[in-house]
Amino acid sequence: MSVLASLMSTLRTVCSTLTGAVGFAIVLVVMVCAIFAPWVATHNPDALDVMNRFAAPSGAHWLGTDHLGRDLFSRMVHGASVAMQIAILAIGMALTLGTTLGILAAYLPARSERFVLILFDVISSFPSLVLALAVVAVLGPSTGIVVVIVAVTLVPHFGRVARSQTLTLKNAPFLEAERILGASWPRLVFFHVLPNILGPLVILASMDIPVVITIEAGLSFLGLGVRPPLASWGTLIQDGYQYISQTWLPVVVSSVALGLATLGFTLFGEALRDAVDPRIGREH
Amino acid sequence: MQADTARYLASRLVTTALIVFGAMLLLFTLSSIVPGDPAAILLGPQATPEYSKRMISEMGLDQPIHIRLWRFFANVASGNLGIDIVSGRPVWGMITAVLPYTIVLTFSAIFLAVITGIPLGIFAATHRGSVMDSILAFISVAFIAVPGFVIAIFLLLIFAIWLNWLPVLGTSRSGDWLDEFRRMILPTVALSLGWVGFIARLVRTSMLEVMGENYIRTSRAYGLSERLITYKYALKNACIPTITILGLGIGRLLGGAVLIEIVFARPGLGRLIYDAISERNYPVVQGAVLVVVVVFVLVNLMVDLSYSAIDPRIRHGSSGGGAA
Amino acid sequence: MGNKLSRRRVLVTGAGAAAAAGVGWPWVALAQSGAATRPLLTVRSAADFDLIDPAHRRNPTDGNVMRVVYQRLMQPKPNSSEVELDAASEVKQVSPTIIDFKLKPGQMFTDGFGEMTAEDVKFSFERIGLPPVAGAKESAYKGDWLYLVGVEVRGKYDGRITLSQPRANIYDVVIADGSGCIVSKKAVEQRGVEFGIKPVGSGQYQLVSLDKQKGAVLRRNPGYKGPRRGAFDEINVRVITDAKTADLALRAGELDFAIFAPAAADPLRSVAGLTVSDQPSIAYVWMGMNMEKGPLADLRVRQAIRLGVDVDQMLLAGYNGKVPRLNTALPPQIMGHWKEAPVYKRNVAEARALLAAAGQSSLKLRLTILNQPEYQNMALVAKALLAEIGVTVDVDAQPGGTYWSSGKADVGKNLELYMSRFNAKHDPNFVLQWFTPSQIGEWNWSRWNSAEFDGLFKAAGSETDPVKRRVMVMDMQKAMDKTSAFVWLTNEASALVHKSWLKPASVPGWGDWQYADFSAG
Repeated sequence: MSVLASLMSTLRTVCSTLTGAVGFAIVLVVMVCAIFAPWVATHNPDALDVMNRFAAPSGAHWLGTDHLGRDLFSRMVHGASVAMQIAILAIGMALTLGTTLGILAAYLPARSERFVLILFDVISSFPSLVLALAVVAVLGPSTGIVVVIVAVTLVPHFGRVARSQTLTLKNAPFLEAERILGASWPRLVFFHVLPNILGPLVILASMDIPVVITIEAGLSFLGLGVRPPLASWGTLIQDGYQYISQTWLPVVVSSVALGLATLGFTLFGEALRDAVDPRIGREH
Repeated sequence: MQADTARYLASRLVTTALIVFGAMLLLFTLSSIVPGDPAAILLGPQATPEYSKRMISEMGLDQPIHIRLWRFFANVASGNLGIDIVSGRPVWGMITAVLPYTIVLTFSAIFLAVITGIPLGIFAATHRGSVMDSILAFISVAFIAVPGFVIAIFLLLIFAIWLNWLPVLGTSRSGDWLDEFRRMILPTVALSLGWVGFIARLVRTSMLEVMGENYIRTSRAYGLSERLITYKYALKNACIPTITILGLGIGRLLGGAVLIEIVFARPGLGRLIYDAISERNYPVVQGAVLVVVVVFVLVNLMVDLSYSAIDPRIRHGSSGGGAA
Repeated sequence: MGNKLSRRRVLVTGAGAAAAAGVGWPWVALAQSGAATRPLLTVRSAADFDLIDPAHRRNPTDGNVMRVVYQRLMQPKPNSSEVELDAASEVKQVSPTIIDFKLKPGQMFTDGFGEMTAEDVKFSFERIGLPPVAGAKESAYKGDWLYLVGVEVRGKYDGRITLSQPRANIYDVVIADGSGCIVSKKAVEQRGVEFGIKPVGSGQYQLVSLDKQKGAVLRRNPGYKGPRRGAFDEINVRVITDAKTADLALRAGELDFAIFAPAAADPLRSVAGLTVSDQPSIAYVWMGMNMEKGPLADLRVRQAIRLGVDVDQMLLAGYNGKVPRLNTALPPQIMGHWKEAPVYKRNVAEARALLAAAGQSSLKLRLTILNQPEYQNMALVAKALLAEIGVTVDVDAQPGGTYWSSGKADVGKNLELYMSRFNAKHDPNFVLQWFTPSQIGEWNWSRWNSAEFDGLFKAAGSETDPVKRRVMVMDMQKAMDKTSAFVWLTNEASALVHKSWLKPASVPGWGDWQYADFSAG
């Protein structure tokens, strides 16, 4: 089957379950908001109108305004964009680095492999809060920093999976055959190992998107996230929380956005994995 | 088998020590490049340049990293986790003052998560594809998705203000057990909900994996009842990733419940670390991070060692060192 | 310190005990009903405790407890900044540099540490003001006792304080304030490092326990014989860093008193049983410019920026409009406040003209602020306003750890625009000390180098004639205004939120609370 056809078939399997379908729908909405934010949003998310703060929802402002008079709906939509940017960048970085280290660890001699594993454990055991605070202290809060922090935290995650997948694959007969036929090591890795382990890794990555979004929300709550006036869901929740007694709408709206997005990605990711994993299949 | 286990244990302990060392090396490196004058932060305009310099030298920040590392571990070996420059008191004392709060909260949350999450996961797995399964899926993921502090805020608003059933402040001022317990309810629930969802999903997935495997099909062919199959085999399989996650969770929660601690005004190790870093109070940071890292690594070691008790198919020292 | 959960005795009596025992369902926190002397007062502190020791205290949280645990020679009257005698029966200014005092007899320290004598006074002041002896740590408050030569003991209760130069503010800021607290010499020597958490004083209250991240418990000191005894048997100071949590605790009846930023207190105004009262503070908040950095060195650029912002709109965003506007360095409650200071209104055309004249029609500047909501909101409004005069502002919100160093040392040379806030005391020299040339690279973030200002400052510091001093202080403020490097914003306001039966007390400005004068009305 061609790549496109197999993708379509997987998608169909995913959407055959209720959870999968809902997940996919939500992911679609979020991606549309993220990519087409300037068009989906009704206002400039940074436009201040201090005299009009805490306005109730109306025709002009579908979800009302926040404490500085900025349109909440537009900020929410742009929040999707920020969340996706951070998630894709961070996961992309972590995936690349983690996979590289993981494959390396599988092929290296025992000593070096142990070193890589210890490196993974050091990162895992190090309180991410400390790491976040330290990095922000050195480089100042910004979107880039959030990406770096999240990426570093996720590297061991991908690294271990990549390693165990590669190890399983290492002794597969077809690889042995290729080696005997004279394939060089890089060729083996790039054309044979990588395509086979990428599947589970990508699914894992899609399930990590919610994790990333949540980490960013937590960092923003502590004031370590993206720079103002950038609208990330975490910042929206934090701002809304500050003024929750004036109006509960901002907190609820941004929490719901955050919750729905992570819900969507998780359901989609799980359905994807269910569709692809032969063991689960349709057995009961 | 004995010698094998002993050798494995020894090798894991060495690895553990290396991990702790690596983490502290990372911390010390970070602390030497992180800007910020502790005296200025702690005292504001009251801090004179001489005072700042003195504080820095008392914290040992003007020394090269390897000397600081050496001094630190030498002190730890003799039971001294350092002295808090600001108050002059031993860091160990500060940690033990807040540790009980953190430990009680962490274990309560995990306990609650386990007794709630596992039954939910079993139910979802045995009723796969039904409406209940979908509903549970939504609820579980919702719990995972919404950040703990947001859950905390809503819990407070609903139960402490609107319904007025439970108190706001997460700890009482007297040694009254009952009051302490009451005040712990909301923080525990807020902390554990995410784990409930996670464990439920995990148990469901692991059980489904196993339920499709050969040996269960064989068992079914021999006529063993559904329930026996479900609970004995599938659950056992689900235990391993669950225990792994719990192991990770305990370690994480020690230092990571900061947001819950802030919202409920509870003392905790996470807050201690957070405050200490914000103030650049390095001796406290170093001592507290060491405790967190050591506990995390030891808990994971115990988790790894317990694998063989649960699933005899797992060998020691094999390449199955990572859980997905 | 021990495990508080198991070893602490149940301290609460009466209504509190019933609630703690979980009587009935739902377990509603029982409110305290009216009586003149009450068993318990629960207040909120936004910052955590460190040490209750005058030499090593850290912040107002420590300070408030400190001032009821120890006595001073003199103390402020209730709800006033005027001072009256406390531990001393007599305080006499013998000459501009010599002050004699006589203690009242029979003032006893707690925990059996004996009677207060002039020795204790000597010890207390010198351990802060003079170089430390025998391994003791130097006090961060040494500057409070500037020019102290020593304290001479002339009798059991008599002593003489000698200064090397006259100090105009020695009574207000030192003797009657934190650094004038009298500790027990024997207790400090005996308890050493533990003294800060197990203090021994002779004040109205005794510190029963101190738990970091949790709070402090104060109990009435039976040995205190002075007139201002305190209306509560026990005071529980609860550390709650998050304002939202404090809000909820007040609603639930778990707190009796807390102070909020005015905007944060708005929703509490409608809660039954709670009273919200807005009090002006004595802080000073401003937006400053680094006078040595690039285009900001040009006076016209600075004037343009001052004319390009709208302070009232910024205050609306930052504080919900609930704070008074400040137009000069000194808050209105402080002696020498320049009432006729110019109130700058936004003028886009003139700002643009000034920038054009200076050749800077499209400027890019960085605004460094502390990452708290008030400053973030004000900064965003300033950013939008300055964009209209052609200045692009990048808001750099920093967490506390890095913010407080951003104007110092070499890093400070790169500072451009910044917002800052300091706490004031009721003394003009205290407020203006941070703008002298010697503070460049320390707390003079605008890097203002003015010999004229410095001269006036030193003269005002020693000038004991209030009329002459007032003139000097006014001149200092006028000089600051001419630089256009300081856009004054507000002296802030505090919203006191408390149970309606409570009458809190504090030195005006609500920086120094007076726990012993809190009463039930």
